[in-house]
Amino acid sequence: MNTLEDRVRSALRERAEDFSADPDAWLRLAARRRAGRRRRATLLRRRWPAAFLIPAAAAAAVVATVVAAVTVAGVAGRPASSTGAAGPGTSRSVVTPTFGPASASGSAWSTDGADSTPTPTPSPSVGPSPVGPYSSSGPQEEMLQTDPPASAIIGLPVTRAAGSANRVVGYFWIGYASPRYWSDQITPGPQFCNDTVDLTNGESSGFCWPLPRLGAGQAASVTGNEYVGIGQPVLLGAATAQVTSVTAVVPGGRSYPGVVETGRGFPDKAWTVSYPQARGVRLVFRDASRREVASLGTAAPLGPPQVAQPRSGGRVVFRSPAGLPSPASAMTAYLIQGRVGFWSNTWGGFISPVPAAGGPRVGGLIFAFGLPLALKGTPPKLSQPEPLEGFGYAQADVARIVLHLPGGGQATAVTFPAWPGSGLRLWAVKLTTDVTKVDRFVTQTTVTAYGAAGQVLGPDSLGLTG
Amino acid sequence: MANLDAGLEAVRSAPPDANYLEDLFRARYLEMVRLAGLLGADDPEDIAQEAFTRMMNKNPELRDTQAALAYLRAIVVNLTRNRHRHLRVVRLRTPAIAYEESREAAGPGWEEHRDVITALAGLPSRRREAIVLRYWLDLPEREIAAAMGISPGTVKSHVSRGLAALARVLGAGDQEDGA
Repeated sequence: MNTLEDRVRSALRERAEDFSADPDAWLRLAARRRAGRRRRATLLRRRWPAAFLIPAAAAAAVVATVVAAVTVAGVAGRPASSTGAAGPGTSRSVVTPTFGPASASGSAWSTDGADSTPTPTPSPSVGPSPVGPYSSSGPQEEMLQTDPPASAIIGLPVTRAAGSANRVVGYFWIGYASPRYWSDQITPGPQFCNDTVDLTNGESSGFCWPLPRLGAGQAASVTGNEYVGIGQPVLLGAATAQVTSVTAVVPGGRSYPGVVETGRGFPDKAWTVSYPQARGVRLVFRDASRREVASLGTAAPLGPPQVAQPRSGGRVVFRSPAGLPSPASAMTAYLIQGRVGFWSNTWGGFISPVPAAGGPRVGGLIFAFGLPLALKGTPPKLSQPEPLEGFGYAQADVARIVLHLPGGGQATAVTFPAWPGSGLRLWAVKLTTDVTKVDRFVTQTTVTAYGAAGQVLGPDSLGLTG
Repeated sequence: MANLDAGLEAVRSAPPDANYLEDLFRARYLEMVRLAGLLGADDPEDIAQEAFTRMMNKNPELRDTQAALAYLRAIVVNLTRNRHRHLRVVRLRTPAIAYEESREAAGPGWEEHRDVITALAGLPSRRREAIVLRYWLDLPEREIAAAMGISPGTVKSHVSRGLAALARVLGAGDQEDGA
C-alpha cells in the first residue's frame, strides 16, 4: 500500500467531516426551485409575451376548476354555521388538493402546498376523507396568505373527550412564519405549524414552533399543546418514520390513541393526541410491530433547539472523540442576534437565553457524548459513565478559564477568538472524569476566569450559557 | 459533455417521482456538499443546492441512481470550477484583504492532516479534482472521467501528476520538520 495514497485518503476523509449539511436543506431546495421557476416565468414573459399569455389563460381555467372543487369539498359535511370560515385559505391556488395514497392511514387529509401545479379534480370514487380540507377562521388562515406552506397540509383527527360531540382536527404544515405574526421568534427559520380546529363550532387554536429536530436515537418529541374547548389538552409533535402510533396512557392504565401521519415536505411525521387532564400521563410511541420506541412525558422536554441552526457563521468548538456513539459529531457555535448558540450535528442545539454582550463573563455547557444533553431543565441521569466536554463562550478579556470539578479535579481551557468584531471568545476542554449524574456534576462545578496577564477576573458558576 | 448527455438520455424514460428525488437528495446531499468542499468551494452548500436544483428542474424524471449520481458529481465539479474562476477574477479586481482564519476552517479534527490538505489546495484544479474523486470517493477512472468531462487516460495522467506534486511538497515539508 502506498503511504502517500493512504495519507491523502485519510486527510480527505477527515477534512470531509468538516462540511456539514443544513438540516433544512430539502426545504431550501424546494424554495430555490420555486424561485427559479418564477425567474424563468418572468424572463419568458419578457421575451415572448404572446406565447406566455395563451398558456397562462388556459392554466387559469384549470386552477379555477380546482378551486371550485376544493371549496365545495371544504363546505361539504360542515355545519351551516361554520361555512363562513371556509374562506380564503381554501380558495388559494397555492393549496392544491391531493387525495388517496398521500394519506397512509386513510384518516388524514392532505393539501399539497409545495407546488402550484394544478392537479385534476379529485375522483368521486375516492372522495374526501372524514377529516376534510383545511379551513379556519383563526390567524393561521391569515398567516398562510403571506407565508404559503412549504409542505402539504395534513389533517389529523383529534380524539374527542368522553361525551363530547365535537369534531376536532389538527392541521399541520411546514412553513415560514412571518415576523408580522410571530415577532417573538428570533430566527426566521422553517416552522412546524399547527391549527387545531373544532369543526363543530369553528373555534380554532394554533401556533408555529421552530421545526423540531429529532436527534440521533430520538424517536419522537413533544412540540406543543393546544386547547380548543373540548375540555382536555391536545398535544402534538414530531416523530421519526419508524413510529406508527402514539398513545397517551393516563395513571391507572387507561390509554387514548392519537394519530401519526406524514405528508409531502415533512422531514418527520407529525402526531397529535388528546387525553383527559391528569398528572403523570405518558406518551407511548410504537413502531409497526407494536414495539415501544419512545415513552415521553407530556411536558416539552430537552432536545430540539428553539431556533433553527444558522446556515453560516459557525465556529467549530470541538469534535467528539472517535469511537464514541457519535464519532462524527462537531459542536459548532453561532452568534444569533447577539446570543450565542451551540449546535451538534447529531442531536440539535441550544441557544443562550441572554444576550452575550454585557452577559456573563463565562457562559458554559457540559456535553456528554453518549447522550443528547443540554443543561436546561432537569438533565437526565446517564445509564453509564460518560466522557464529558466542557465548552462555552467568554467575554473579550478572558484569556483562560479553569473549571473546578466536584471531587477536587480541575481542567484548563485557553479561549480563542469567536467572531471578528463580536468581542467574544470560545473555549472547550475535555473533562477526563466520567460521570452519570450530570446535573449534580454541573451544579457543583465552578469556573475561574483569568485575563491575558494571568490576573484573576472572578469566579463564576457553570451550567447554562447565560 | 457528450458523456453527460448520453447519461441523461439513458435515464429519462420513467415517470416523475417526488419521493425518489427526495430520497436521492437525503441520501446524497451531504456527499455533494463535501465533494464541493473538498474541491475548494467557498460555499459548498450553495454548490450542492444548485446542483440538485439543476438536476431536478432540467431532469425531474431521473430514475437511475447511478446515472443521477454521475450527473450530480459532474455538476458539482463544473460549478466549483466556475466558482474558482469567478473568485480569481474578483480577487484580481479587489484589493487584498487579510481575513482571520476561522476556527471552523481550521477545525481541530484535521490538524494532523493540515499539510496534506494545504498541499492539495495548491494543486491545479484538474489534478485536485482527480485526486479527490479518486481517493475520497474511490471512483474508478471511467466515472472520474465522466464527472470531469475528460477521457480516462487523462484522468490517469492527472492522478499520477497530482500525486507526484503532493509527494514533492509533502516531502519538502517533512524534511523541514526533520531539520
